[in-house]
Amino acid sequence: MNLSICVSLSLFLFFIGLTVVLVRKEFLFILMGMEIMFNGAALTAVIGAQHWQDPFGQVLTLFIMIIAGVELTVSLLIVMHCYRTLKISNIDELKQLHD
Amino acid sequence: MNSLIWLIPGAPLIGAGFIILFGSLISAQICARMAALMVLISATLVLSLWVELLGQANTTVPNAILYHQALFSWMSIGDWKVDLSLTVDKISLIMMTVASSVGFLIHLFSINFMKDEQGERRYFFYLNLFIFGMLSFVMAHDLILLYLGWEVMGLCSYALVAFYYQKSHYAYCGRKAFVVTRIGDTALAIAIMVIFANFHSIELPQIATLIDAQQINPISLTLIGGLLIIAAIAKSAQFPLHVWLPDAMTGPSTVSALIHAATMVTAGVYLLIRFHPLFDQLPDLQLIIAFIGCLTAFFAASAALSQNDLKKILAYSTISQIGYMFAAVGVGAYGFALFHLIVHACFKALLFMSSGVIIKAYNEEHDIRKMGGLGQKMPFLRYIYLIGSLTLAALPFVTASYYSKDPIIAATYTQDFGFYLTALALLGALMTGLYSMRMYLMIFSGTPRSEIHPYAMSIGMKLPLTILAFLSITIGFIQTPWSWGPELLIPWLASDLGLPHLPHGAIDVTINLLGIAASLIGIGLACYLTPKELKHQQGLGNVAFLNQAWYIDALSMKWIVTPYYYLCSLCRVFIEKVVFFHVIESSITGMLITGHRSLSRSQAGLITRYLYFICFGAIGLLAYILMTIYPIHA
Repeated sequence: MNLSICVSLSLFLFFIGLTVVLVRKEFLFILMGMEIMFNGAALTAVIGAQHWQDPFGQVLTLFIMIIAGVELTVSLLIVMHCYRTLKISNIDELKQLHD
Repeated sequence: MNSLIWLIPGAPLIGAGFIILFGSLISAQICARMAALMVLISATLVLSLWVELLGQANTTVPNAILYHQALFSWMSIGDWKVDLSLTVDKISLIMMTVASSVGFLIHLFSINFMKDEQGERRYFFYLNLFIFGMLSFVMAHDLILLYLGWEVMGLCSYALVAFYYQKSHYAYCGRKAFVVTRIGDTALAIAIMVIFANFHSIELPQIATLIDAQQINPISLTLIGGLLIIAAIAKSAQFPLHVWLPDAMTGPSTVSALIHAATMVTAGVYLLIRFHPLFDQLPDLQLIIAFIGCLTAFFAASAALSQNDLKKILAYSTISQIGYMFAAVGVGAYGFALFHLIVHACFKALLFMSSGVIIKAYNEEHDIRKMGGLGQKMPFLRYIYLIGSLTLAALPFVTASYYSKDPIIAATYTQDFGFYLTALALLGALMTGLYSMRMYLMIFSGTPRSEIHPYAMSIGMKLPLTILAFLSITIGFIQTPWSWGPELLIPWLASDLGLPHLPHGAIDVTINLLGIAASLIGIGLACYLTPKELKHQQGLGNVAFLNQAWYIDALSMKWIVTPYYYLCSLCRVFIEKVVFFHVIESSITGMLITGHRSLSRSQAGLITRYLYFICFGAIGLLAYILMTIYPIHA
């Protein structure tokens, strides 16, 4: 398989995620965008593993998925509490520390 | 003896320190007595130096340093250091004698004179500090200590002129004295710096040797000389900068006697004498000094003619007499300048102290037209004051002033433009006789024109006056003209100061006769004019031009002080308000406000914006890393 096409795909995924994070204001969409970015990054690791015939990349991807799951739990918890206590679901309204 | 030199300026300093620290614990009278005792210690030590010195034979070595004591190293920078050391040579010995002895007599007089005045301790503190300043000034081995003494004197002069500071005019007079003499202080400071830049030394004997070696370029020498002249003019109240001295009479009369007659105002003369090797090489500057001196002698005598304030007459007479000293310095007759300085210190201290008593007797009345008739009530004071006035008038053959002033007038004739200098000096001498006797007659003769409260003088006040009156008569006989009597002072000083050029033969006799005539005519005119003035209420005291001292004070007020005020307000409006407030301050604050607004906008708390920053930062970092890994080769 052509390496550059694969890397372009992962880069494409990463930038889709980044665009979502940057453009959308809702917490949930941002979390989704971050997940997409994670996947893009993980895909790079897999591509690298395939390319160099090294299982380390696959292992790294598994770790990333686990960490992303754990991180997502925490983030979702924060988002839920934001919504419950502050009645906020939009990230731009989250500036209570600003004077 | 040598190890006790430090005590001469040290004792008054100890006294001043004690009074300022512990004075409030003891009574003011004890403070006063202690202050006088401290100056007595100095005076006794100085006199014992004389005794020891006159016992020795080898006093003819040129520029001999008689005593030298290095106390400690004051400051050291690298291998250059300033030692606090005291030196006594013949010139400074004479000045020390005048300062400590006359200073002691004035302290003694002040104990009773200043009794129960408000601020008595303050008075004696400053008086002691002043004696310290004067003695360290004349005993200084290097220019730094000399400058210290000079400034201490200026400070004490200011504080004592404004002694009765509750009256705003008196405080103003103190400020005026301080600010005007400040011009000279600045000039002296610059002169010291220029001297150090050229000679790489601040030690006075070394500077004198270097000047004699003639290796310094004449332009620097002229600059130093000019600055020293400005310093001396301001301190000694000579012609353009004399304006502070008549106003300095607002202090107690004893202060006028000590600071503004006997000692501090002669510091400028001493400074010029100290630097006489310099002026010996600069005849143009010498001529300027001589001209300033003669002009001042003439001008101040004419101004004193029509003063009605007793103390202002004495103030202008001081200016005039110091003018003669300047003239002597200018024509190279340094010895006679010192001689006249001694004589002047004696009779002017006498006159000022007596004037204090007179003013008290007339209940703080200063106007001599309202006095009169004091002769019957206070005969002792009358004869004392008569001696002082006649010495001021330089009555021939009897008084000391004749022996000191007439050689100066004669010496001026030997200089370039000698005729004009001598003419000015002789006219000054004539007017001196006139105003001094006018002052005496108006106070003591005739009938009282206002109420007299006879002031009982204690023995402590009579004694100093008697000693000074005695000296005013007798001290002249140590140096008589034409060798018909003892000649002690000038030959003794010749090893340090050289012999003055005096005219010979017929010219000498003529000038001397003219001097005698000037003095006698002046006294005679006074005896003729003063009763007339009192009778018609119209006379010398009404000549506005002379009464206002040629309007120089008013002119300097109008053309120097007022424009300076305008300059200041212009600076305030233009530089401070426009430049600082509007341009500099607003631009700086504007920049800062804009800067911190833009920075604070970046910290808006908007997470999306932070995300953008993170992204751009990451991209920038990546780009940088890529650029370093794969450099672009053009």
